[in-house]
Amino acid sequence: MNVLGRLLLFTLAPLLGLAVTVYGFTAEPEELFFPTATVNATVASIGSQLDNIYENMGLMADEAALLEEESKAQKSVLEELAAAVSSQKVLSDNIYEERILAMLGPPVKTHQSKRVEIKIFQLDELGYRGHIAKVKLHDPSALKVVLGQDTPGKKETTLDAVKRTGAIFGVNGGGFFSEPRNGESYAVHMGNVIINGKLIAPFNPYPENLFFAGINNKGKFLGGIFYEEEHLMNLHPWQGVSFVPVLIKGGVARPIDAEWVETKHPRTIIGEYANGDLIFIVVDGRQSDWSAGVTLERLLEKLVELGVKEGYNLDGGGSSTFVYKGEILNRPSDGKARPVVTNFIIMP
Amino acid sequence: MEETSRTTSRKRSRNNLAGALVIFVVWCGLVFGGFYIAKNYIDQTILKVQQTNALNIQAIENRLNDIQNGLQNLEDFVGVTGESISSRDSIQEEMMQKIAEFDRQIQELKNSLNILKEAPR
Repeated sequence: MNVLGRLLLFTLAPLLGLAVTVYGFTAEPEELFFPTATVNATVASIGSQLDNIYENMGLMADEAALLEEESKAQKSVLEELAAAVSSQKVLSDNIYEERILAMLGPPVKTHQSKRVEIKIFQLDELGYRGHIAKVKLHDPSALKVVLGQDTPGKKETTLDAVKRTGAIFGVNGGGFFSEPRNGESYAVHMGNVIINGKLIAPFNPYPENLFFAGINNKGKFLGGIFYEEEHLMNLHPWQGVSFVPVLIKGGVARPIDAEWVETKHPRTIIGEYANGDLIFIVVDGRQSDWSAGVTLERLLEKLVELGVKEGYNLDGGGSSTFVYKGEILNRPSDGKARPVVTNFIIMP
Repeated sequence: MEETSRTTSRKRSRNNLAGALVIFVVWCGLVFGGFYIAKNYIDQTILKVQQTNALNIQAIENRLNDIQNGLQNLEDFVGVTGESISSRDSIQEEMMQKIAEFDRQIQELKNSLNILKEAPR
């Protein structure tokens, strides 16, 4: 029995160990399963959040697309408005031009280039005749002031200045006087002359009613009485001359000194229309069978009638000369062109 | 007698050895059998766990694929929306320039109309 008991014990011992091991293992496999419940819940939560994001994104995309469409529509409206405004401006400019031309009458000569448009008109009023040039400057460099023979102290007729420089148009410029220097006659310009943005002599404010008239570096008319160099140069003058008196400033007629009110003479005027067009007027005078000349008061009235907003009286008398395409169109009172110190010329 | 006793003792000893050998062989067989059964049980259990896990992972992979596709769509959506927003920004910037230009044109028109007011009649 003892032998049999030992035999059974030895025989069953490994089986017992294995049975215990297997029994112990049966509890562990549960832990080997992948925790799908947690992961599934997490994945489902992510999916749900993704759906929400997708939905919100859709709303945002719709909103963005809507805003894009609205912006395009606004842009289109703005373009239409801009086109309408642009066309209205052209219309307004054209009406103004038509009004000016209606006052001037039909042009007798016209020059049109990329740099400048010049229209020449005849002035035929009671007691005086003359010529008007309406100038639309596209390029400021087309208008120049030139010294006689391009030399200080020298004089030159407007016709010679036009021919020498190859200009298409010219009128006489500012006032001057002559004085002897070193035994020779030396022509001195009055006031200030600016050529290509530089004073050709030190600033001269005397006498006090001398104006400066010309254009600035943008080709816009510039005129006024300047007592200090700084005030003038701050306006960037490009070309200009000086004389007396100012006739119209800022659309307002200026009072004329009594000495010029009644006297009729040949006149040269530089001025500007409200739209920036320049106007040059030369009135013949001292020729009873042709033109007696005009008083500054009468000329001022004519300028107001023409709609001129800036008007400055340049050197007149025998100096008044109007040249177009190599020909003197007016009748200078001396019977021939007088040499002068400065001329306004316009290149073609 | 002594010879017989010695022979008997030798025979008994031989029988004991054979018996022990048989017992050992049987014991080994039982150990192997038990091991085999236990191993088979454990292997089957692990295989079952592996298959279950594989199926579960497969299911999760499918859901993750869905999420990935969703993310891809979302990315495309974001891209399209971004383009819309960026296009709108570009249009807005262009519009700001056009508004500035329009303002300038209005000012020019105003100036032109003011000039027209002063035209000779």
